[in-house]
Amino acid sequence: MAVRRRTRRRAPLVKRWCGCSPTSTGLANVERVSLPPRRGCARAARRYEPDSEEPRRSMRSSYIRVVLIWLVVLAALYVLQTSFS
Amino acid sequence: MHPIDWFIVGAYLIWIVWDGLRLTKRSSEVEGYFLGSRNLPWWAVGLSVMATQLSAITMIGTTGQGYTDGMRFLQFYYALPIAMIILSVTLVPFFHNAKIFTAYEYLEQRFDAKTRAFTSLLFLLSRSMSLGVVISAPAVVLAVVLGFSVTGTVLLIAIPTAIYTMFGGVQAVTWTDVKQMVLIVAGLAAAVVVLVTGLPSGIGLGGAMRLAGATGRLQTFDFSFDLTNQYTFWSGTIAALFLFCSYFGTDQSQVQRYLTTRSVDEARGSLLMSAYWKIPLQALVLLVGVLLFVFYLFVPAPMLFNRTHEDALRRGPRAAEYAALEQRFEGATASRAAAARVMTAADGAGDAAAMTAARQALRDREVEIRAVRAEALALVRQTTGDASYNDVNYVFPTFIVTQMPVGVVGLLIAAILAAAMSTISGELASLSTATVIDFYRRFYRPAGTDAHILAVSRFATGFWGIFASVVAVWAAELGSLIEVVNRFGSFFYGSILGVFILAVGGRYATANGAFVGLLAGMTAVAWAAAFTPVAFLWHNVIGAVAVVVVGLAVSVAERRVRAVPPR
Repeated sequence: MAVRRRTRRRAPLVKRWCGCSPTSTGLANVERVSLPPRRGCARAARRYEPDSEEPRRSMRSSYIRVVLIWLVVLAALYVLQTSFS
Repeated sequence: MHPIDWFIVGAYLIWIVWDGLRLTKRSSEVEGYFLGSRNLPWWAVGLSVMATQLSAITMIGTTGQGYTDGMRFLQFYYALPIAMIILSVTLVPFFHNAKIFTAYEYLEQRFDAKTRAFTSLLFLLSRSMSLGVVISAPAVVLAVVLGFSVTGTVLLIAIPTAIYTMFGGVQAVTWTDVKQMVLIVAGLAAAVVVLVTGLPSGIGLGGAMRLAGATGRLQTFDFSFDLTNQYTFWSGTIAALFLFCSYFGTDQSQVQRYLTTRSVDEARGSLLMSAYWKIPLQALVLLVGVLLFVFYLFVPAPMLFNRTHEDALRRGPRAAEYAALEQRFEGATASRAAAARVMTAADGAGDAAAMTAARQALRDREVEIRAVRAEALALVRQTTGDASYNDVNYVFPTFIVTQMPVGVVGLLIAAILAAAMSTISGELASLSTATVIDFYRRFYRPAGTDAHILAVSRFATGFWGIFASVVAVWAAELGSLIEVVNRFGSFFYGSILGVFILAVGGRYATANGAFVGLLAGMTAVAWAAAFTPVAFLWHNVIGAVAVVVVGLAVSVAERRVRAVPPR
């Protein structure tokens, strides 16, 4: 009972996993975060996936969003200039 | 200033130091001190990057530019979002995956120690000098406006910042930057509200925009291709692209921030925050300046915004000349106010013909006022001997202390101090990191313990704080030479970017090629600055192109002579 409580308390703390927590819940967190493992943490290293496809796709859509918003802002500034001059 | 305003400023200074020191306990390891254990959230890092870039010079100088020239300075930032995408795709993954502390450390991994040491040295030279100017510029203005000595104002800004940066490291810098950014935006928003509500009845934000537009102050696009003009669409999108790639991609004060994030994508997210918000934020700063112009259409404006010079001229041998100029100025401003009222009334009545006539009258009076102000400024230059004197930086602070209500004055002065401190803290942290990691630990104590390196780092932060304060006091007396010091950094930006392009652009460039290219790039920029009228933004393009061309040529020659395999 006491062990389970400790496991629950540790689970959300991402930085604890690389301290090689022996609990399975602690290691499960490793799969959700893309942090590189610290040196000497063999178990974490096995489960570390540096760049999954999903974040890469989301970055691509972020870049497209930046360009679209940039064009909208420039267009708005041009309208501001022409309509008030 | 009212005691309530002094209380707000004092409370801000005490709170920000306490808040920074509160984070000291998390900075007991070298990685924690310099890189926040690479565990800071992307949004905090993104805000910190923006806060570092938004200095007190932006708060007081850019609002002044908005007052005199309008919004055309905004073109300078048009390339920033594109630069952020380029960096997110190219340099950010290289830096993040290399597990480095400084951007220049990567150059040793790719080339050799001398390239790393030389680029880091260039960074230390340019950043430490520009840090002095970053402290000096607002200190000179605040000293006049608040009635302090320049040295006292420099210390008021530098000491609290150095204390929390020394003990809190990059975590203190980042979290105080977040709060300072909130304070800066709140201050700017308060200024807009006070300015709009301070306009005569019947003139809202729309009316103010029409008046500003009539005098060309809403011009945000200039498509003329003129290499000698700093602010055109082309210099803002082509030349500034090189500047921003260099500043955000190779300057330790920026690179250090996104190295503190948890992953490559979080680092990219922190940079993209600037891509989304930098242009709107800069537009807000310039809008404050434009609204200041509209405000002073209806409220008597001082001919010169620096009271010190005004008093000196009134008491000096050319007092009669100055009084005549003042008389002309008062007449022209009264006529301009009348034209502005007629234009607003014609706009309300929908009378297009009257509107056109009033707009022309407003423009004519504006030209007259500019001419009188130019004569007054020339008089100051002749009297003081300061050839590049301008009072642009005094416009906003003068408005704050003479026109704003009690409480808002304190908020705005605290916001200007916050803008200065957020820039200074980030730069102090980066100077300390480059000094300790690229020189002390690299060449003197490679096996130093964390405790030892931390102690040296704190000493280095304190040293750079004192050095920058001395430069700031010295720069305050330099007058026109401040501009020279300020442009010192722009001599290197393009060239350093060129070295990083060679580093990540392929395996062909050799260490000697990169080093010779760097020297060639700096020589090319020095030549362009000395013998051509090309605006300094284009120096970044010249430097980067020269480094890449010469660097590759030397690499080709070296490989042929020595048969060096690609790395």
